[in-house]
Amino acid sequence: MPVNDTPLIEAIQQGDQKALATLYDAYSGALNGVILRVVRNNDLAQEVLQDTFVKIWRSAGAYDPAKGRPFTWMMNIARNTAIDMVRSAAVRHSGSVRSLDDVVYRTGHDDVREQMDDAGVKDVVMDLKPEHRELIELAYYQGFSQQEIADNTGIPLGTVKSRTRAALLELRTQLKDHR
Amino acid sequence: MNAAELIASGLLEAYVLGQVSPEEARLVQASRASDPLVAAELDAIEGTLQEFALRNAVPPPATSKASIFEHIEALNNKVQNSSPIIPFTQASPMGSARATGSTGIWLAAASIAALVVSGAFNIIQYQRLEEARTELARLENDRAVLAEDLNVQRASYEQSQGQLAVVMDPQRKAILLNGVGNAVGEKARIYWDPKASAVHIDPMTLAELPAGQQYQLWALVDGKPIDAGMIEKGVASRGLQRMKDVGQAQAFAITIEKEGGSLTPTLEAMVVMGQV
Repeated sequence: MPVNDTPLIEAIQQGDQKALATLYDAYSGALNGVILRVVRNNDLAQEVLQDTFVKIWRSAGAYDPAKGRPFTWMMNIARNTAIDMVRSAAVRHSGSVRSLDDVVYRTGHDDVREQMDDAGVKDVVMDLKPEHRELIELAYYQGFSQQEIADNTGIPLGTVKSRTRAALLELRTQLKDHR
Repeated sequence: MNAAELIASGLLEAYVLGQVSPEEARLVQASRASDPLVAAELDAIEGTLQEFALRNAVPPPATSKASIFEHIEALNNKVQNSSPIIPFTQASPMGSARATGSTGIWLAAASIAALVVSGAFNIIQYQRLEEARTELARLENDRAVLAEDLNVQRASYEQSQGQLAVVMDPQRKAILLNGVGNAVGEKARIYWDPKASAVHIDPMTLAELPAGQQYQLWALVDGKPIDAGMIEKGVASRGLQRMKDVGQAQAFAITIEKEGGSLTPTLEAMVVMGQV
């Protein structure tokens, strides 16, 4: 797994399209997987993926290695673009943003997984404890802040924080086990 | 908060997930720079999410790559050709803390949507303005061409009207001048109003003369030739032409003279002649 992609970002800052193509080859699938889990629609996902790479191309100059590795930066662009897309689509369709209650309800009933299965998306590693899976779903794929999660689930903020850490630790262990 | 407390707090995970406030992000970044333990833990968290994403990768459609690079190519050309691009700014590469509460999210989403819509609207308006300017310039040019045409047509019309008035004038005598000598077959016509002394000539078939030569009209008064003016050369020679006033004459004749005319006619160079 390539860890240091920073030189590629620097090349993109100089307008090197080949560097962008290298990043695309390495990460378009990973980013597309994240995007699909957020938008749950193949057409929308393609639009978001395109927007994501255009943003990577245009804002490579804003990348700061002190803040995180390139993949985290790209992943957050993809995630935020996808989440914005879902929210603006929700506003267009219903005049209101999908409420967190809906999301929690749906997550609890495994509706999300069913929809992802419909889109051909299967999780390689998601045998997490239900409360951990829910947190990763809400934080990572739905883009809710820890305060929002605490407010809407009734779980104390401190517990949300420690549980997020526990969820990622469990994920880390599972990834190692699957290696 | 020391490194161990920071690591245990869950703030690092929240930071990587883009869930922290700008203040918290600064705290995490400062700790990352100063504390190797924090840096290592952050790297582990980032690595976990990266590997998680790679394991769950879904390859995009094969056409996606080409379409993205076409888009970027088009974007680059656009940048070179015209409007300045508003730089995309990411508040923090980790993603800024999302607004708290659904109202905040709604406001943020609405303001981003409004910005996008207004940006698109501006681009469209700018393009329309450019099109309108081009169209206006084209119409202005058309108008100038038409005005010029009109002036030419008006001058031509006025000239025709003036000539028609001369020809139709009942006071006018029309005198046909016929070719003589080498110029047999050539014709010209004089329109003369003896009372007003006005003389017009229609050169009719007279051929264009080489440089240095010019037709000169003479009025024969009691056997003596009187200069009645030079006939214009070139385009001006077409149609009726006002000559010098002649009060009385028994005949008119045209000779070929040096350009600018002579005091007395060169009789051997007489082209046409006609009796009144």
